[in-house]
Amino acid sequence: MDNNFTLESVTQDNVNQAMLTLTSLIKEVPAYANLDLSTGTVLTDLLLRPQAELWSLEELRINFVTQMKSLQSMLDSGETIPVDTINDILSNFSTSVPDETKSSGDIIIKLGNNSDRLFTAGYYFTDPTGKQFITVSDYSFSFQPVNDELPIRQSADENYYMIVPVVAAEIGDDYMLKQGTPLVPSSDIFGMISCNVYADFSGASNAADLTAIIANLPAAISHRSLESRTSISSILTDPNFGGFTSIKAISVVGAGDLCQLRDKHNYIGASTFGRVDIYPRTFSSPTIVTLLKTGVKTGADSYEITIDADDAPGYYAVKSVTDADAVINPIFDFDTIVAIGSYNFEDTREADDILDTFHDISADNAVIETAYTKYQKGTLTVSGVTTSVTEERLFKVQVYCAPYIAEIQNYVDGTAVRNIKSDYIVRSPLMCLIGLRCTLDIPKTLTTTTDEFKYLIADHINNLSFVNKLSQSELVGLLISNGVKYVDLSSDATYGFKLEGRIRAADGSIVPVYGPDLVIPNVTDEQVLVAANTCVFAADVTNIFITLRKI
Amino acid sequence: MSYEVPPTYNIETGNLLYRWLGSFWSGICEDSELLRKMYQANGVLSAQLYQEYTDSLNLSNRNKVPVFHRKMWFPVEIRLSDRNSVAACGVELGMVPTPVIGPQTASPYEIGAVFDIGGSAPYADITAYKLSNDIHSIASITNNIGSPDVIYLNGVNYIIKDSVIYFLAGQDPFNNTNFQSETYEDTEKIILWCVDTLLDREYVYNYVGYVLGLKQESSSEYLQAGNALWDVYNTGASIDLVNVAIGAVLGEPVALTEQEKVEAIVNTSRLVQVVTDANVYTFPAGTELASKIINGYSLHKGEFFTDTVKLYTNLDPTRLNVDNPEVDVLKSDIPALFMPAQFFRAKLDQGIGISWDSTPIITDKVDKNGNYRYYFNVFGSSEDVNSLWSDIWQYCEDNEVACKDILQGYITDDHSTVVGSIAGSIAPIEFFMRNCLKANAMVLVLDINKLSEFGRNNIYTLRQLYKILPAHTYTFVIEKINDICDNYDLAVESETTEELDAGKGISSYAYVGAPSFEHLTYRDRTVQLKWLPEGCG
Repeated sequence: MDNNFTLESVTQDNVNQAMLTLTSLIKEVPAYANLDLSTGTVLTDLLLRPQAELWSLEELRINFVTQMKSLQSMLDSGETIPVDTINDILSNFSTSVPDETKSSGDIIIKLGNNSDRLFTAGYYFTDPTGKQFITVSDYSFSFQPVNDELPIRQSADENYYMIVPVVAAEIGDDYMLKQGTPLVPSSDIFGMISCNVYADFSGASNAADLTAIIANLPAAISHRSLESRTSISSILTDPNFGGFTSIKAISVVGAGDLCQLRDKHNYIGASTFGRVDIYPRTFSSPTIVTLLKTGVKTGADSYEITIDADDAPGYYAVKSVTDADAVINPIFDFDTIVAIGSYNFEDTREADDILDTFHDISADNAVIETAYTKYQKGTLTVSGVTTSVTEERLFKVQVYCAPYIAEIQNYVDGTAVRNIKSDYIVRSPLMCLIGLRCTLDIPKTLTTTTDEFKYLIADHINNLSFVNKLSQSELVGLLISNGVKYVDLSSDATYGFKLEGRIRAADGSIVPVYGPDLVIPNVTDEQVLVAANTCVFAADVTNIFITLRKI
Repeated sequence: MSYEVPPTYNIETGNLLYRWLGSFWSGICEDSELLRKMYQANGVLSAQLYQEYTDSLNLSNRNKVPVFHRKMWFPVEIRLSDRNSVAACGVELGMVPTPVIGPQTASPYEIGAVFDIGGSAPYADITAYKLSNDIHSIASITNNIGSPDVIYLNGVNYIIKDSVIYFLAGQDPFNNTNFQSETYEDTEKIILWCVDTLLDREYVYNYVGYVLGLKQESSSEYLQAGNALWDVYNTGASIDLVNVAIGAVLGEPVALTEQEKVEAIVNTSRLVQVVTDANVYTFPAGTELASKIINGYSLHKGEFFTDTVKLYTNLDPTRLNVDNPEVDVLKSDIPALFMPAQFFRAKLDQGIGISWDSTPIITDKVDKNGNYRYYFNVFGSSEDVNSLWSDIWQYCEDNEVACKDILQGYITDDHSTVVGSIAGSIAPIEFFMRNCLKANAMVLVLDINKLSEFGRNNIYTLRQLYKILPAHTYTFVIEKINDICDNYDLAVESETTEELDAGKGISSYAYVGAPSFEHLTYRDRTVQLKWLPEGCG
């Protein structure tokens, strides 16, 4: 959209107003009151209309310049606005359109032998749809690794495996591969048995739309300091300050807010204020961190795994615990956050090193007050392990974890930015993990696939900020506006609409939220940090089940 | 065979082109009057284009954003077939001319009379035409620009509401021969020349408000409020800037420069003005200025001129000097506070209320450490009050602290230890201010009866402060409303206590970030009466 208007850009409506002025003023003279100035007359066609068109063209040009001075006007124009034009405005707010990012993740390659392998930078793997994933540096693998070499491990079936980190070749959230997806290496790997995605890929983000950019403007115009709710957001996200550009939304829980528990550590148990908890949404789709952890045998079929504070700082919930080389296809079953295919386990949290911090954390309530911060650690008690029951064995532990919780905590604790006597704790937002099943009637001519609808819904949910509710109507509206004719809203067990969410409260209990509207205030319990200002809705496409019917 | 003149020919021989242009008016159309009118019309369009340029320039500066786009001369076409084909007109108080409800033919307040709506003279024979949606106002209307024969004035001959123009008292242009009508597609049409037409292009929202996520109807007050809030976003919540922002949001003038001295106070039947060495501040007639605003008084930036809005940033009761008259003012301004459930470690349902009313401290049983428990009454449900004291007692017991130590200074040394006896007295609000609120809480007191209509309708915008005040601070907002009450004389036998209603209590509360449970909003407006012009469906 450029300011290169020509006479062809001028519409009849534009011209009419100018024509009205010209003809009316001429007709004011009694002698010309009945002058024929209809289309086709010499005066109109040779003089008045060309002049009216020129005035209209100039007005169009000025209006364009005016419109391009405001992001809201750009949005209202309905036009596709170039990033450079948006950045022209954003430069006034010392910010710019966030960059798109590529997804990354790990690939597990099962091998029939344990010979050393080398992957040079640029080696790539291809998924079934043809998308490529590349190694960004040289990786050497060895059964007995030294220095920077990565390990080749033995699996329970006497074969071997190695885990190769890769990055998507292109930008886009359709590069977020799911666990178990088969891949083809760009050249033969000696002794390869299989090659699959080891854990769900993460980190991809598409270009922010104008609405999202506008929503962030208050932070953009704010001064950068750890002071107000907006300025805290501002200092953390500004590339020249905190630089945590992956923050999509932020909730600052301060004085008088629900779930601010740390400012009541006195005999009366009443707020003296002065404490602030920061919940940054540093992810769109729920980010999963995969840990290879050694479990210590504690019973015939049980193990204990410690998740140290540094392993996955502020981790939210454990998605699965499996054998180290297992590739499962985890499915949300509407009843639990834990994926089907996981060992049974209990996740017990405790505070870690709180005496080493200046933060106001009550020892009487330490589990809750350190929940989802870098000051928590966890112990997993795993049961039902029947293979390779040795004193110590390796497990693959997948946890939902907001990235950069420790880094953000370290930043706000830094004496370069922290205000004297201030106390800010950074917590992962509580994820209300969504499960959705629905049946959509679409026209025969509509080419949108099931997967595309899944991504559409997941994108919508994952771009929400801290909101009170996720409603059935907003999802239906989204689908209808994308070509769906009818959404089955019945309670039919197979085809009906089912929307549910699960929240892991700070005490470890699971809080279910039932549809058709998922309303967080209905399940608010500030004692365990469940409230609209601490929770975000998050959806994994694998937990969205859609049936398409062509009509 | 056609002959085309190459464009370069015109450019290379410019003089020839000029001669051709001149020869059109001298040889083909020898009509100097037509030429004059045409250039006059071009002049109008040119001037209007300049207005567009200046708007565009001013939109680059958030402080100079024009509230409306101005059209100096704006032709509006109305058609006879469109007469009264629009929605009803909303008649409301404050309109000009004043609408009167009732026929006005006899005593309008006769007992038992049933009033008709719209019976007053100016609204008789009213006719309505739809205008384009962006027309906000038209100062006057003429039949032509050059030599108008008739001038209609806003509020005298017509009113505009919700983009509909209503011609009053039989002043429909189609009934006025000065407006030339012409036949157009089986109907008649008239061009109204509108003078000083203001178009609402939502400049204030599109260039200021959207950045803050603040949308209101276009107005200069909205612009001022948006900019004042923007300043706080930009530079931080200094007391001066917060006061300026609160003043702008509530339409309450504050001193705008760092230091200015009052030089004169003008008090007339039309307005009140405070003249300083830097600015002139205007208030509606009858405005009661704060007693400190006298000639020679030095104002600092953000200082209010009236007592309509007060911000208490210090709630430390130990600073309350009994000899200081300000104490009584503070107690009057902050007679009570409501502390919502999330203020407490104990799990409460609603929260508790506290006031200056002295209440006895009651002795309770001893705890496991042998210390007596005490309590005093606060407002709230019995469950909440019990939860509060249970939590305090439990905390004291667990930490081996005597409850009396918490209430030190309020309990007498020689009080009885009998359960249920009085051990002292306390003003709960003073206790909570001293122990909790003095550090990081503020109180904003609004005298609702003295706020302007803009201010009353805009109180909800104070929620913006939630985002820009320091996150570790809390602001209470108190609205003082003086209700008109009926007086009862209980000495009169007929007015027994049975006839007295205890009055409606405000059982719900609202706090920053959440509405009241009763779903009352600050957007509540007065009831409007709808009036249907004749023929409207």
